Amino acid sequence: MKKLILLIILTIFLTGCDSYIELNDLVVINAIGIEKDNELYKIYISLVETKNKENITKIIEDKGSSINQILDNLSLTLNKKIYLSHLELLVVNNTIKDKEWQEIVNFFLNNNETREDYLVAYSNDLKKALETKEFNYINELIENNFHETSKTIKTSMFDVIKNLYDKEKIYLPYLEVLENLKLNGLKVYEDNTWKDIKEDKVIYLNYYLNNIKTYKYSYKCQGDDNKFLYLEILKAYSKNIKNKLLITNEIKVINNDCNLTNTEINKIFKDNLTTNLKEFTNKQIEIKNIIRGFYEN
Amino acid sequence: MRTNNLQNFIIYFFLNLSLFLLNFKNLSILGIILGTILSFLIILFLKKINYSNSKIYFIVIFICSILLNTISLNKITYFISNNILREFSNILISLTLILLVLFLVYKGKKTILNVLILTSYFIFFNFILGFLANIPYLNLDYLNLDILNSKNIILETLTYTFITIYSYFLTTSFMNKEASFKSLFITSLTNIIIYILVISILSLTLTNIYLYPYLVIYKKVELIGFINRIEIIFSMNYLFCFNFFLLISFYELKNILSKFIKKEKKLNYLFLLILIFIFLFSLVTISKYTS
Amino acid sequence: MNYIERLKKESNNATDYIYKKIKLKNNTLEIVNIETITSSSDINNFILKRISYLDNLDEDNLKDFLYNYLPTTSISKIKDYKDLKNKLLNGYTILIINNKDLLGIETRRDLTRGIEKSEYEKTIVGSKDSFIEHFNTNLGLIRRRIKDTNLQIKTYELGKYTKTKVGLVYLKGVSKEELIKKIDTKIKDINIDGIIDSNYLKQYLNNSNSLFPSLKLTERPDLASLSLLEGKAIIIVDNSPEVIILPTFFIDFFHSSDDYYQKSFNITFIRIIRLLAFLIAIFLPSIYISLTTHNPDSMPIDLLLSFKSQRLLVPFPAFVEAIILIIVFEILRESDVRIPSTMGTAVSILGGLVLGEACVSAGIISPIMIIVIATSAISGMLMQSVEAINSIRWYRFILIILSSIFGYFGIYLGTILILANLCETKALNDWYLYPLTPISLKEQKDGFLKLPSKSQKTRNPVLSTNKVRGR
Repeated sequence: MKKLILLIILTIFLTGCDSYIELNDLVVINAIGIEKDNELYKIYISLVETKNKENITKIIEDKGSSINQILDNLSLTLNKKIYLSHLELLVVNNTIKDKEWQEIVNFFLNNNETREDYLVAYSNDLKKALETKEFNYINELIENNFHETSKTIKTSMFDVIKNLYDKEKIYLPYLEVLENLKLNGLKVYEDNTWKDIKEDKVIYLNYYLNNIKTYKYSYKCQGDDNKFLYLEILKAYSKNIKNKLLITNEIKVINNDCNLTNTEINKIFKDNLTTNLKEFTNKQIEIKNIIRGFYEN
Repeated sequence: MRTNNLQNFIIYFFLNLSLFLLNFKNLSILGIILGTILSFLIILFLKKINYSNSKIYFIVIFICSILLNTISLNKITYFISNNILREFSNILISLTLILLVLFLVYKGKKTILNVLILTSYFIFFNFILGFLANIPYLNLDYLNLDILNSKNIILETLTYTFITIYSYFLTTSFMNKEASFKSLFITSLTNIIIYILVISILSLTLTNIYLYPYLVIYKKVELIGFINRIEIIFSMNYLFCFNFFLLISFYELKNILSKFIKKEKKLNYLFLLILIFIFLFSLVTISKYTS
Repeated sequence: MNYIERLKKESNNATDYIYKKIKLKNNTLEIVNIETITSSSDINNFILKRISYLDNLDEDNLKDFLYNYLPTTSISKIKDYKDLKNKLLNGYTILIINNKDLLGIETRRDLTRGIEKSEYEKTIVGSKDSFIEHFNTNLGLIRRRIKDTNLQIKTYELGKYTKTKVGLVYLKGVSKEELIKKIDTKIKDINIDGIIDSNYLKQYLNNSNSLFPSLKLTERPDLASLSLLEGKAIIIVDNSPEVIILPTFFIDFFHSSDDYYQKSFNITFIRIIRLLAFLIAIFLPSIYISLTTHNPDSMPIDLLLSFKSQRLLVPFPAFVEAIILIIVFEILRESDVRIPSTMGTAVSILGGLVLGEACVSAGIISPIMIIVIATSAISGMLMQSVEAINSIRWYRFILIILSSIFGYFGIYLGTILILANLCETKALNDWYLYPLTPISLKEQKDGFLKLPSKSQKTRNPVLSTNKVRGR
């Protein structure tokens, strides 16, 4: 009885290890860019390699009729296994519509190795956007912008999948490539079309979505072109109730060249918010400001 | 063997939890609530009849455990091959699990109980850490009255009653002491809390898409800026949890067999045959896993 | 038959048996002793000198006279030849009176070293004396600490050729009677050639399949008396500086005696570190192997890239590398124990240079593997018992093999097998893993943590029914 069990155990040990991979046989992919070019998918892959203790990225592009096919071809040409678990970024183009989104989402959901926590972005020139010297440059760019200026939105693949299923809007940060890479507002995907939201308006969208971190607001004094009022908004909360949108702000006055009083600052800021928020909602807006600073009434 | 109320509770809790997690996609909140009430009534009714020595009880539990063991073995191997060992063949994984079960069942009740309680420290500690790590990602906007919808409420209540009654009877015969009703309610409450936690981190649509949503919630966690791949630790956690079900259920199967067959050699061969049958049968059953 | 002729025949005229014949007026006195184990100064001063004053003695019952006359406390009347042989071999001087009556006087020579510091159970605070090879000294060290008539001792003589004196010491009224009876029956059933050391008794007292030791041996008398006060029993073996403590718990291997001499909060930190070291020693190499071969997706990307660049240097898979390093390290460690100190420095230089610099620059082993194996080896040496350290090697080895085949699933299998091995001990009691299983939350206060409320008020309920101390 015991010898039988031993035999079975030995056969398991002798089968060899199916899932054994050497680390050097992996192609670690950091970012993927997908676009569609005349019924064919075109993919740009940014690999990471280490040479002399430095991490270098390299870009490879390929074409094919489906994403699976392209990646299989790539693994044959590179002679290594494609490794998607450390993917950090997915960049798309305006050629990606409903059908393409479906295929992308199906590919990533069916793949056991991918985790859907990477960021998604939009760019007009995929190859140039991915050609950065340091890896993780774009991710840090988006994060810093999000936390310091609140002028972008961080979307991960989770949000994209959820919004696709619920048929809601998808907001993606727009990486504009003219001479250099620059973050310039958002692109909205809704009903098979891509629309634009400019950089200045993104803050008000973030109010609506309750995504504000901190930002700075400047107001030109009336009468004098060289004098400005600088406010720093430390915290902001917004709440969406049935017919109303409640907003509270904590404001810190940095520079008050116009010598305005607190109530005047309050009024200027509220007017600014209400006029700009009308683009995004029809609800009634109630604003409460808490001002900190020396310039008391 | 001297038993404790606390040990009883632990065995019942983790048995129920492992069966709950294996059938996560087939349940909903309303199903759990109605299921507990129904099972509570059934257990009250059955307590008045003295069931512990009747042959019908043994035959029923025997058949139920064979069916449940095959289905659960299948699900556990899919869990392992989707999350931990991605390129391994399923046959080898289920074979090693069966061998592990075979090895441990012959050690006796005391060692199985000690092993399970030792692992329960680790699982408990991990669950609390995971719960605390997930709190910043809760989004209470995702909780609305839609979560109380269910696809097929009769099926869900029946599966949950089956789960609770099966684990109740297993604990009473394994620990030689009846599981208390308090443990029944506490475990149902924790199951509901887990369900609500999963829905509030991923929304309802995403929980219906993923196969293992209780594992996907750990993909969002990022601690101290660089610890962000902790779902492996929690998949091991769930493995240790499923271990409870594997060991206790197969041990009780052997126990029930020993009441019909007295000779030890025959018992061993029959048990081995049944294990092989379960193993082959579990490979054959088709699961509905497409995403 | 003449006693002396019989002795000479059996010992084949051994040169250290000394026979002396004294003739008093009406009686003849023969003195027999073995020179190597008796002290001749004692014999000369207390026996021969006194007998020389009895030149003109005219006594009929010389035996009773001498029994009262000789100035010694340990004089006994011997009944037969077997008893004579026994006492002679134990260092007694035998007086044979008129070839009929026998008297035995103890004149043993001290063949042991003095009380020194303990070698491998070192502490910072607390007493530093340790047991030695002499039975009476060991018992005396314990009696100095526990001064009560309830400290009882049962002696046995085990071993056909060695006839070693074995003593079972316990505190009556504190330890349970069933425990003492169990140990009693077990010791009486022992039937072997000889007992050289207390480690021989281990397999008779507690034969279990577990790799982890199931009995604790100690060299320190303060630990021994602490465990007596808790309700445990102690076995002292002659010619052995180690004393067995029964029954042992798994948690005892994580305690040391100076835990009770310092503040509780500081001690919890140290105990947590010991537990962490135990876990690191077992799990670290297998986690590293499964990370780099089967599941690289649980590492952050920076680690992945740095491991990648280091794996380029090595021609072997990670499993082979680990085995090579472990074998070399174990050879180094074993040689460290046996080599005399005059040759030791060369070996340590060789080990450091060879393992550290040369292997890495020759491209055989990656530096990260050296770090992993070295940390796991060093953290495995934190325990106080030598057997526990030796058992950690097997656990580590099993886990490495399983994880190189199965990855993280192998770590799961390995932990379950190790736990099953630990839980399987057929101990004297079923409570080897108490208070972990069966659970007792109260007793956990002195388990892996040390909380101040437990300290010296109540006893472990498994070991004694006399719960409150000081009554």
